[in-house]
Amino acid sequence: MSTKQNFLKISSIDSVSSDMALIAKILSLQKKALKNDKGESMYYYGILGDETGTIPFTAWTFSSSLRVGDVIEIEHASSREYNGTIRLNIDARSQVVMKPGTDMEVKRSYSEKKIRDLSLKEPFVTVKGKISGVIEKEKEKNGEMITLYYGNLEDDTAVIRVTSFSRKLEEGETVKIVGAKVSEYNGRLRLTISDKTQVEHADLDFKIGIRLSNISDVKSPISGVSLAAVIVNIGAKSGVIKRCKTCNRKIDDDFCEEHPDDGFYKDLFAYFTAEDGTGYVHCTSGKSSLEEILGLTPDPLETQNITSNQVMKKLNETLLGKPVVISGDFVKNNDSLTFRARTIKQMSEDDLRIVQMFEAEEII
Amino acid sequence: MISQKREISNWIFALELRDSKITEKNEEWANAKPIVITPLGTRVRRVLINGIISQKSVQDEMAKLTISDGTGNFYLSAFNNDFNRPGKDELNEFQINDSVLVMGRLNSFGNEDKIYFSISPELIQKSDDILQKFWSSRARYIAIRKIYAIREAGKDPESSRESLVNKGYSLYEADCALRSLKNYPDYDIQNFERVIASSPAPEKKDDEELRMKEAIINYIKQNDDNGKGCRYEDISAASKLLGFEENKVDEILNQLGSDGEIYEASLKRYRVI
Ligand SMILES: [Zn+2]
Repeated sequence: MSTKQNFLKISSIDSVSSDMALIAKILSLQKKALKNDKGESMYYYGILGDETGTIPFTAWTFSSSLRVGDVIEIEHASSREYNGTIRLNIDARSQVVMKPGTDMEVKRSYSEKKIRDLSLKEPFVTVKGKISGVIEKEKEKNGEMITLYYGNLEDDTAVIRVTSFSRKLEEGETVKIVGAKVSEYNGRLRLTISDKTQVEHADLDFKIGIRLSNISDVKSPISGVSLAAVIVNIGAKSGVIKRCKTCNRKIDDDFCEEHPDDGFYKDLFAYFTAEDGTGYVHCTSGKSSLEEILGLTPDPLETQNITSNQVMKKLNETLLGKPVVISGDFVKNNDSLTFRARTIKQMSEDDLRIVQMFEAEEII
Repeated sequence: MISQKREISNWIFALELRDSKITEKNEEWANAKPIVITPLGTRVRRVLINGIISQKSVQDEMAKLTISDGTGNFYLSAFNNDFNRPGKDELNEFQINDSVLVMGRLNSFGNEDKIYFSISPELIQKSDDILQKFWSSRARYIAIRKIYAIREAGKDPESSRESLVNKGYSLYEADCALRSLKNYPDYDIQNFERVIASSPAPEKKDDEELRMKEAIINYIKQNDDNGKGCRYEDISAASKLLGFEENKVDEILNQLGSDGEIYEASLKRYRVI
């Protein structure tokens, strides 16, 4: 590449233009398969940074040997606007050369996000909310004992799990977290606070109440959301299932493969599809939420004696084609989101008013 | 365990469907039914609707229900051989004035001048006041968001998915808006907005009319005159005796005829179908 090249700084890329050259560090990198008539092709996306700022990018041709942390020189790139932000576009005409052994200071810029809008596409963000459910755990790291703090962060849209490696989390405190890392663990989104993350006390400029959401507005596995929906389908295998007394896993025969002599107990389980006009989601629910909605007493004997057919009959009568408010957590499962319903209730007049207020806010 | 892919149900008002004039070939399956494109740009294969049954007719092979949502009518039909979904007998359990929720597949037939729609139900359930209000309020919210997106897209001929998404619309709403402008550039969206301005609610038929229909059907059945049909004069006289308004008899007979309940066997003689 020519040494006379005029390299742009990321902070100066503020509009749509073409034929740009820059040197930047790869801060995050993901690939995605794209299906079209010609078959499957790969594209890469992530975030690039330099000493002036960061920019998301999409690359249609990219060396598979490139990794997060590599510094690259890019020529003939273009920029476009997408979802309100400028993106760098690296296509077949662009040239990308790795600069081995080079490192670069990066000025991180984090956009402030609501928890519901967090995703792996933007791995470093600023979020505001209230901390709850704090647990402390001692762990050994490099021969030293360190204290980890686990908790939840909630705002007016959703709840997310937080792990802090550096700062003590206080129960009930309201905070602004600048530069928190978003990752996914066990099918759920998680925030990590490290020594590079800034945590400060903050007054919340929103009220935390019922976090009603359109189904189509949730794109990441976040928790603590309520959906107002109609149940349009109940899974045929809902009803009574058997679980191993020792490991609690669902078993298909009368014994667990790992604990064949330990016996089983019966549990309630249902799966169903909810729709709200903006989309649908497949939901699962367990014993406590089902007992409540189906009017069963939490008497263990009752669960032991009720049959799948009886549960199915009750499910159809109580839920099928009915409006409900379900609260729970979205979980990522084989690339699609399912909903774990922690509570299910019939929609009341009050719920309906809340739904209508929520709709009115979005169409004024 | 859970089938992941599913066709979304469109919560749309009867008016949006009634004004639809365009269908698109379904590219995914060779023999699939065409996809209906509505004036708001919605692509419809499946609907979820709520309304009040305003007409019902049951014949040998099939049952038909007309459902009114306050903006217009949906037409439901089911045969007895519909596997695994509500058939004629299930539909027959519902009565005029029942409020129902229906999810179903949309069928369209007709020509370039006029398309007709019918729904093959996959789910039909009685609904209560809360469900009726919830459905209507959601359908209205979804339609209004689309109308706003259509207006926004109409301001600028360069409008694209990206530009609309940047203005706060979802990708789905952006696509609907662009589809609407392309297929229905002259649609009277203001009228649509006026109709749904306050959440529309269907009205029940008045009881007097219902009782009169029932009484007349029964009378015709019982006075068939050996298969020649019941005479108009007799029906009229009987209605008078039952205390019904005389001038409504003709109207009711006409309605029963178009509902498929009775037919004119010969001049001024009626029989029950
Ligand atoms: Zn076990």
